[in-house]
Amino acid sequence: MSEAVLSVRDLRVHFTLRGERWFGPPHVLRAVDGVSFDLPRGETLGVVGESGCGKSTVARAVLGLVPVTAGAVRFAGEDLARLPPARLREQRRHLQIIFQDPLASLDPRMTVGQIITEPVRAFLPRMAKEERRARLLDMMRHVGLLPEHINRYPHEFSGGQAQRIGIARALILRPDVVICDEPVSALDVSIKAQIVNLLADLQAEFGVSLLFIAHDLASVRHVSHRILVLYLGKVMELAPWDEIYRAPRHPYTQALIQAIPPADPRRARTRPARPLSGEPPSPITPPSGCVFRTRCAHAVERCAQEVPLLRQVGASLVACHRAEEIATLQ
Amino acid sequence: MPPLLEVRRLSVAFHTREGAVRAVSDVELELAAGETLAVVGESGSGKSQMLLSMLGLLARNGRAEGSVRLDGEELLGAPEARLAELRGAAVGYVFQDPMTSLNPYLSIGTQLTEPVRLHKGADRATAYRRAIEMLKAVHIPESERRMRQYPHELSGGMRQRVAIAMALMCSPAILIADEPTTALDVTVQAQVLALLREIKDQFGTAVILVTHDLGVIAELADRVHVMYAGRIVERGSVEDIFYRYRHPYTAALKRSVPSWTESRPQRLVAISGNPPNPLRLPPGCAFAPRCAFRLEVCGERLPVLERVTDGHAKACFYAGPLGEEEG
Repeated sequence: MSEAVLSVRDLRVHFTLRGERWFGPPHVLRAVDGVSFDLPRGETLGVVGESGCGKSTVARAVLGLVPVTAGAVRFAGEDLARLPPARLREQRRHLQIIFQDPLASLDPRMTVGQIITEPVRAFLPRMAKEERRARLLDMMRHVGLLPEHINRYPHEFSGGQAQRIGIARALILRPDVVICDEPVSALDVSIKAQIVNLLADLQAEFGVSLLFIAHDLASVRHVSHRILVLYLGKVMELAPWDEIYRAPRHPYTQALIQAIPPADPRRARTRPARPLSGEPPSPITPPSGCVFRTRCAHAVERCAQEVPLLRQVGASLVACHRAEEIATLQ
Repeated sequence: MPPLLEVRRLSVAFHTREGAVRAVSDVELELAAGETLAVVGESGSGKSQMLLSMLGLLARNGRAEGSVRLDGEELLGAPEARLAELRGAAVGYVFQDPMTSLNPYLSIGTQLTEPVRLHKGADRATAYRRAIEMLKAVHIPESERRMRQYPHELSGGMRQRVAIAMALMCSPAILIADEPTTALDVTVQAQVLALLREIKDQFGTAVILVTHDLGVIAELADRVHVMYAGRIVERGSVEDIFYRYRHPYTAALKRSVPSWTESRPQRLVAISGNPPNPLRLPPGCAFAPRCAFRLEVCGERLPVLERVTDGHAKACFYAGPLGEEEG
């Protein structure tokens, strides 16, 4: 594996909420609770989990958009969580983000050209106008926008086109890391594949590292080198893309896979329907021991008492006391 | 036996400042009692407007033409009072966002019992018993306590279950489910899909399922209509559509979904271009500008639905192979 461009260690993001009673003790919501991962240069790390698992909070913490309670976000030899604001701002040009709702993330009063070059004007204000325009045209070509789109406004574009604008804006500074927060979830089926392919092409060309966040395991696996499975703010499994198909080790990973409806009526109707019951518990009062145990079919007494540590099993990292036994049960 | 629902030459247009927008054009559709019909298409393909138009739920600038017969009774042009009677009683709706049908100010109990009291004249006690029964049918635990709660006290998955229970309160003949699982997490989606299948089996309700997700269709549908730019471009049994598809759009939709298989292709097979602007539909076939199998005639004439086999029809001039096929 090549060197890690981004390295997150024991990241914790806790929010304090007012308790039930006005002067009672506050509640602590553990949105991210001890997450670690490395993102190697030029690779894609997929992040999956249900809503509330902390995947978007991880993204925001990496960018310094939410305060980090504890842990480190190491980028280019510095801990972004501890940098003074001026230095953080300088480093931020190397870390960009693409949002889920492409139209909502573009300023309706700015033209496409202004939107895409905004990062350049913010971070490289002394760049000559001609060079800025050359960069803009080059970027637009890369994402499949036409030069005549420059003076149009976002509302004139479809969702897929708008996402191309968002991608061009994120890439124009040639960042090292781009966080893709559900970049295709809001798009139509026929457009999803275009955007997924575009991201893969741009990665091959620019060598950018991607943190690809989504709730849909099948698309995540399609684009990722490795996949991080989160549940209630904690890492359940970190596995290479082929391994997660061949040997999903954590019961939660297995449940996520089971929940993918196969686009094949014969298989859909013959497979055993055993959907995971219930919904994730509140992150304010997470279960003791393993946070997944309340929905886990394999839970035993130990799971309620002891927090499972992330440990190596085969080619994957798994946080489950019974990973080996469960693998043989499959 | 005549079908439960029979739609003939249904068209829907909206009058806007920029001109008339044709959202649905010449749709024909039949639904038999107890069957599940899926309508698949992208956003803007007209699938939701088609269903809304049947029960007079179009926005004020919308107009529907053609014929929609429910049990032989014509619905287009029927008085609003009659349509209001049918909505909820004969046809239940479940929307993508359960908060579309739930009122945040009313308790679950009030909302569940209202339709039966209104449409069936049930007394308070009967309505209450029926509501508890339906909450159990959709697997909501502690049903008595839930009756006193408000929508914001429930999770997204629970709300969708309540919305389904509410749609079923008057034992409708048809349940219309418009993207019922799109807003839910995958594990909750799997639960709701299992629930919808149970309901079909248990109550014999006919279902019209609107979705863009082929996985959802594979789980539930008996027959499938594929819509593009307001028209049905292919229709057939679920097996026809998945294994013997004849329209390039259906083929492309099928291939653009990343599948859960051991190997993964280098690239997904994408459909190039974007869906057409309904204000400026191209002449001829609306899919032609994006179609890999386009012929010269496609840009000139509109293809009509033609029989492939019994129950299977496609609207496409191209008759050759569509690449790798299964089954």
